[in-house]
Amino acid sequence: MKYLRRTGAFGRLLFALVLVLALSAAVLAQEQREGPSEDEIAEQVHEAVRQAAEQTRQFIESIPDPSQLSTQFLDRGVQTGVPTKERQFVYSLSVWAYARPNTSELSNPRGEYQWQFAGTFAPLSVDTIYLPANETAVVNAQETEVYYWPITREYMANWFEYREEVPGKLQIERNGQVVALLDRVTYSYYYPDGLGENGVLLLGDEAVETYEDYQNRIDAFYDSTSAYYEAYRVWQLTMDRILAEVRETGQPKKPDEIPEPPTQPQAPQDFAYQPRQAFAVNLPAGRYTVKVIAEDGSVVPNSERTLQVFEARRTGVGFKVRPEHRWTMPENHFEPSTTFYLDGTRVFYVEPYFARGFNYYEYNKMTNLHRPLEAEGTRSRVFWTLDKPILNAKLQVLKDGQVIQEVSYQPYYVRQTAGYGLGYEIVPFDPSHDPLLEGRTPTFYAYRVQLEGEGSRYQLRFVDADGNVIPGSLRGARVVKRPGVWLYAVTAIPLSVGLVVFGWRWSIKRRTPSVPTQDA
Amino acid sequence: MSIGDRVHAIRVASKREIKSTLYGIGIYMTLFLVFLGSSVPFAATSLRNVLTEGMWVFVNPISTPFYYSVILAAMYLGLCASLSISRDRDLGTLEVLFYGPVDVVSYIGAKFVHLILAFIVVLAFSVVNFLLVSQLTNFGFTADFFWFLVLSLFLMSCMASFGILLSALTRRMMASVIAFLGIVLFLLGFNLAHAFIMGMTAVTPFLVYVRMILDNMKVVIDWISPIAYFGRGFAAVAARDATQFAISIVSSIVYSGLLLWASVWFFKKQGVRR
Repeated sequence: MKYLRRTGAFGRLLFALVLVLALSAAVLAQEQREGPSEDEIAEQVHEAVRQAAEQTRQFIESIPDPSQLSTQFLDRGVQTGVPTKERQFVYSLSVWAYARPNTSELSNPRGEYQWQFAGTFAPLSVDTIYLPANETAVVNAQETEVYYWPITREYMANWFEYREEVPGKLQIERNGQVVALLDRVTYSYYYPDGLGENGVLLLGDEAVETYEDYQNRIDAFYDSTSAYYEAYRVWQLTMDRILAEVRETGQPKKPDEIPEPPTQPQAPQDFAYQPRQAFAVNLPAGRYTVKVIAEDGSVVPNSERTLQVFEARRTGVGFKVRPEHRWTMPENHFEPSTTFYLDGTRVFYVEPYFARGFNYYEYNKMTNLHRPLEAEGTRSRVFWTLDKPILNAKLQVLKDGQVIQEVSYQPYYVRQTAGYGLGYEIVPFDPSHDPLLEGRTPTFYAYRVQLEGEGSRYQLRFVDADGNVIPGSLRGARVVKRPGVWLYAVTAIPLSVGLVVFGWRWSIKRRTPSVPTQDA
Repeated sequence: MSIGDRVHAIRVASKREIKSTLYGIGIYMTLFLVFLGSSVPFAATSLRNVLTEGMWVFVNPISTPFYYSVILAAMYLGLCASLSISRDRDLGTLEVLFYGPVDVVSYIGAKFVHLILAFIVVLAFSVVNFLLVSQLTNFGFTADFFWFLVLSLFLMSCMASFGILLSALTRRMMASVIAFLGIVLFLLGFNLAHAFIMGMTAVTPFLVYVRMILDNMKVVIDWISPIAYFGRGFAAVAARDATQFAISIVSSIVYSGLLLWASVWFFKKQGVRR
């Protein structure tokens, strides 16, 4: 979605749809006055819808690949300087950037993460490309105009004005052995729940068929929109006639004599990119070499690069924790040795996720090759990313090895308390028992845990539908005690022992008679 | 000199030295200061966080003060190690000692065993201290702690061999002390600077270059620093990573072995005379 926002493309899509409504409304309004005949008006409506459909189609076809969208030179740059462009061989890369958190938690109560494709490109100065292991990435060999933009410290490409695909095959080698020789394949991105939601990479016939199906539904939508406005115009005429009759006769019509207005058609909610051609690379972790082999068998100049395919260094379960008393400030915890420490009786909500720990440098370079400074100096750092939420499990609370609570994943609603004072309460979201929740949506979904008892010790763990403990999901929970000054007193133990030893040695020394000297 | 004779010499010398350590006040005073300086602030801060926020989630709050406590205690014993040979040489004791049934290997072996034994005493006090802190606060004294104890023995092994090597390299006590403290404080300072720079969010080109330099230096320093070996093992325990834990221990043994071998070699080159 951020790419579309960046180019205003989403706005253009909306504009096209609004255009249909505006034109149609204008035409219908015109119908009220003296003017064109009904046939002319109908023709104008059809024409407006046809134009909107054409614009939408052009817009969909013009949406570039993520790699181009995120690295395209923007007009605003021209106003602050003139870049020096150089035509270069580059690899454009579009990779699944793993799970990204949804920007708005309020619109995403289940805490689901978007699976987005992010793009970058490897200019000549980049000798190593980073791709995720066992995931299909879209790689293309192209020639374009490249320049370094010092203001944002990144390389940009002028994809929209100059872009030539470099013909040939992508050869991948490992330890001098060819492991793959790839032809370009057709690919497309499909967003079943609409742009900005989870995306799927489609390859080959599936990409073409999905896009054609999407186009057919868009066409059908505009056809039905055209039919809708025609039906609406007819219905409006009928209603005008009925109203005139009522005014003349003073007799109201029976409900069954009033026609139902036509139903407005709904635009398809999903979205499919226009299919394109590129290399689909899917490799196990390792260090490879990539190069483009031209049709005459020669290696395309400047096409040889190192390909680092990386995998997660660690896997586990991440806990997103919301204490009840500060539910808007959830914290993520990944390390299995983390423990929940509580002061007295506390309620908190846990949202568990499968999590993966990646090398920070590799993970960031994957989508930022065009930014030479990005993640530099962080090769030794590992960081965690949240993956899919764990929804169909049970949270077990154990005390002394025995399960004392079993909690299910439930929706919750945060309700502001009445009055002038600040405050809220978190209640289970159950509109059947609470009429105030009718028509509302849950604020979040989570596993609710309540622990109590000073000095108590608990363990939390998740079990799947078969009762198996989900690996990496075990955590400790403890209710703290207040030690007072005793915390300081215990540090004096070694000193006390030392003083005792010193005193003991001193007393032995005192008791031992000194040897008389010759002089004495 | 036969192995049996060497073992005997090591046993006698190390027994004498550990007695001397235990009868002195130095180790007890050091432990008191170490616990006061690391255990109390960390435990008190963690406790305050929980009491202020109502709930706090962190990796075992006992393990961080333990980490710093054993590093400080090991530094103290490492400093003693760095003094040991140069002091004996400086005072002329070494020459006299080597007229007896002692060779270089048994002499350095005795120094090493003495430091490990002294560290076991440190660990005993640490267990008591942190067990009591755990009982008083209900901070977790978990099974991890056992592995931290095991790991810390190897930290001491690295630190002792590092100190002994420096002591074998230098002829004067003052030079040993300065060399040991200088290197260890640099390594500690480097770790702090690295962590600080890595934690900074604002990225300027200058910061990126500093970060790149520090990150590349860290790769080298992690092979040199005895603390780095301990840190890797510590992280492995926190991550429940048995392989990395084993790697940490094996690499610590190799590190200690290499440094002790180098100590013997340098000792022979330097001789026993002042």
